[in-house]
Amino acid sequence: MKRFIPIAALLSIVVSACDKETPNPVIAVDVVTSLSRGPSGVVTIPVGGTVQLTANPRGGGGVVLTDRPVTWSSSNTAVAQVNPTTGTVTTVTGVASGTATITAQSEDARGTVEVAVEAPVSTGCEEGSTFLNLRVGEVFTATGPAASIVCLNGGSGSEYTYIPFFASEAGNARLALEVNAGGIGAATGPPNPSLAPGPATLNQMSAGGSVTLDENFERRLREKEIRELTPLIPSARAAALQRSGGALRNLIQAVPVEGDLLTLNANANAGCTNPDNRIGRVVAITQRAIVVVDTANPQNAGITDEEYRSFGVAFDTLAYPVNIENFGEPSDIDNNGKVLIFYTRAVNELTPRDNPSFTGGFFFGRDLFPRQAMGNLQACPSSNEREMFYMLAPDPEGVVNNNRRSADLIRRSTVGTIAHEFQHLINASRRIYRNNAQGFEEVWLNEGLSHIAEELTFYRVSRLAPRQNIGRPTALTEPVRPAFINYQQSNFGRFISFLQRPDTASLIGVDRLPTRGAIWAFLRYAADRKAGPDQPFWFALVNSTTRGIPNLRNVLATDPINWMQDWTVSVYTDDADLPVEGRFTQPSWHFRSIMPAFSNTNNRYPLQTIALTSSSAVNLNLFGGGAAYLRFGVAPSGRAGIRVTSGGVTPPQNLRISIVRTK
Amino acid sequence: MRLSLVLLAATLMACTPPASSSSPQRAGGPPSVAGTVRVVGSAPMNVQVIVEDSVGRSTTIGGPLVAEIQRLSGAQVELRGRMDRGVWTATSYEIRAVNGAPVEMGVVQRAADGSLHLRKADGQTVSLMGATSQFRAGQKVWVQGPAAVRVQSYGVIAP
Repeated sequence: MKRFIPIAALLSIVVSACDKETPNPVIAVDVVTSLSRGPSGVVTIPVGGTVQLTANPRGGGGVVLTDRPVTWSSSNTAVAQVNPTTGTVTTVTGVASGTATITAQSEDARGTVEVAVEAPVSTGCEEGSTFLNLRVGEVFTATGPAASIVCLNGGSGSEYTYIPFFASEAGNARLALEVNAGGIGAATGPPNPSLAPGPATLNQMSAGGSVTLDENFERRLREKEIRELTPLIPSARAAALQRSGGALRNLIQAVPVEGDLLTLNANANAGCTNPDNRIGRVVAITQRAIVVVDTANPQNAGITDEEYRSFGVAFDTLAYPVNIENFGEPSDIDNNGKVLIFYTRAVNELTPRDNPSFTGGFFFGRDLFPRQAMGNLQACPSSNEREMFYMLAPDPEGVVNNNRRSADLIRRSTVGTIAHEFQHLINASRRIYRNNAQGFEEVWLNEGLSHIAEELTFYRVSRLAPRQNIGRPTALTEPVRPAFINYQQSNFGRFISFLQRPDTASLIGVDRLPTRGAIWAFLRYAADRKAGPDQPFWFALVNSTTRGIPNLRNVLATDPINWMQDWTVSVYTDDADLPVEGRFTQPSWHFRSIMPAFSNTNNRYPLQTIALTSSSAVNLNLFGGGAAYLRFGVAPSGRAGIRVTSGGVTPPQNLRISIVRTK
Repeated sequence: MRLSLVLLAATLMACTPPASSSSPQRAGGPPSVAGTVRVVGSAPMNVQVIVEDSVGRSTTIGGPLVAEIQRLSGAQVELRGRMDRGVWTATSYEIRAVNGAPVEMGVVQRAADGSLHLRKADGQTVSLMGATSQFRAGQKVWVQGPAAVRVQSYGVIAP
């Protein structure tokens, strides 16, 4: 099936004389195309290819007149034909090489499009070319110009998946590709991509978790960036030195007792200015937690002080040990050996009115910085000077912005959220106070590690372990199911959003839900692939003085981009009944088994695949770290060729392709 | 005591690398910083844009251009501006390279014949070919590719 770039190009407008006797006559017809036009304004399609045209009749003042009839015609039906010939939308099909003018007429006005039909592009595979013979499960890879032409010998009913990957360290960069093929047919065999369809039992939205599921909301929040923290790191280290030397004992926070009222700055939008002070009541003090509830939270919200205490105990016995075993202990700037967990409506207030999404909580680095300046070292006057994070408050009546947050939602999401935010706290505080790092981790890797913290919590609760290829029968059946829902369902949900459009997301790109899902899955893959236990791997990533790709490169002792390319292959080949090398597998999870259980997957493994055909090019715009999955078959004893270009010429060095024979 | 605190602070400052090898905090230094753009912290409340130089020293970036610079994560840039209380306020910038290769940066313009051009900061225009369906007039973009310019890779800086 042809896949067009969904960007319309506005084409020529032909204006005819106005009919003075017709009220509000059509004076122009705009024709919009589903394919871009070339520099000369011509739309080019191959023989057998199609382009969709949409006519917009316009009256005076540019008003679109949707009620006017439109008829279509081709100046050369031997080259290009239109079907249907009436209506605002038609499809042009290339018949033979040549050019034709397609006209849309409405009343006395016309709009036209020049269409050039070209013979199928040669793939460059000829006698004398090197033709690959791949066995089932074998993966061929090539880079840059060497990837531009691939020639394949067909076996009996052989099928392949062609995976272009943009090896970019800039996640926002995009790579334009045109993929042409010859001598190929449809791929019909498994995996397509599901092996195990089944009824949906999981709702992505029901998972809770630590982040909102509304990307636009997150993007708005990110625009309120806090930029004043990194310059304060020298000041924070100085304060820590002074505390350890006993010079400024008066800065140390007194350890509260249950019932105390604390004033805490809960401003989520400003780091060191404009404090938004809230009064919090200490409801529980456990071995490692100080649980504080905002006195302004909605009343009678369904969670008792004893339940809040149980959240503190869950932190003591679950989130705290899991996190420190894997990532290290956090700092202790308030010298009490505890982390303050503040349930405050300030978190609820972050979500706009009548919005079904939510933020489960957040960590704010400003609270790790000293309030008072020392010498010429700056301070953060509105810091809470504590290890702490902020959590969603129960609000079953929707008092805050009319958004209902049930007590049950809080119960289900709180431990996973705490595990997630605690990794952020450990990561930031160890970079500042223990590891002498220059600043914070890159967001995509930091978030990936926090999603790993959620997964590690799942393993602890379920008593399962990595590399057990956990599938649906285990994950979605008692006694594991509750742990999966509480600690892993969100990770799967985010990964599903990546798989649905792997070409438009990146492991290393801006902080979007697909990126989070992908980097979580990649980190799990990397931990499974490298030799040895997981803990040193997680510890090394968190306790680093570098960040992002350099951090991964140091810890893996290899180029992580190579592993990312292999991972994109494993996304297709894992658990697909193919005899592939270990680097093309994902040993911990049987995604093809579990993902069809999510309601937004149509009971299928949700990886987007594209059918490659001989009749039309596939145009791709891959994000850095993104990939696409093109399936095709080769006739028995036949020969196939695939040619990829970028901007119409040989692709650059950072294009990498993988081809795996699947049948 | 006060003197010892000042000495301690001065010692720590001395041990802390400058924000950039070309930081204007040093007297006489050029008013620019250069390095790789990185977006650091934890989402959604704790996100910062920095420029990291070749030895890992970072400068926090602020100012009205920070939203554009954030979209260049992973690119090598040079920023001009001024340091204000530890934050570099960028007043202009250039992209030195993306994935190790130079780029053309400018604003997309559509000519009367419908073709697309890139108007660069110096007023020069470059014809854009290939992948033009991804652009619309008014966008600020960077592009890479041979011959002026067959777009192979690109990024949108200001939509």
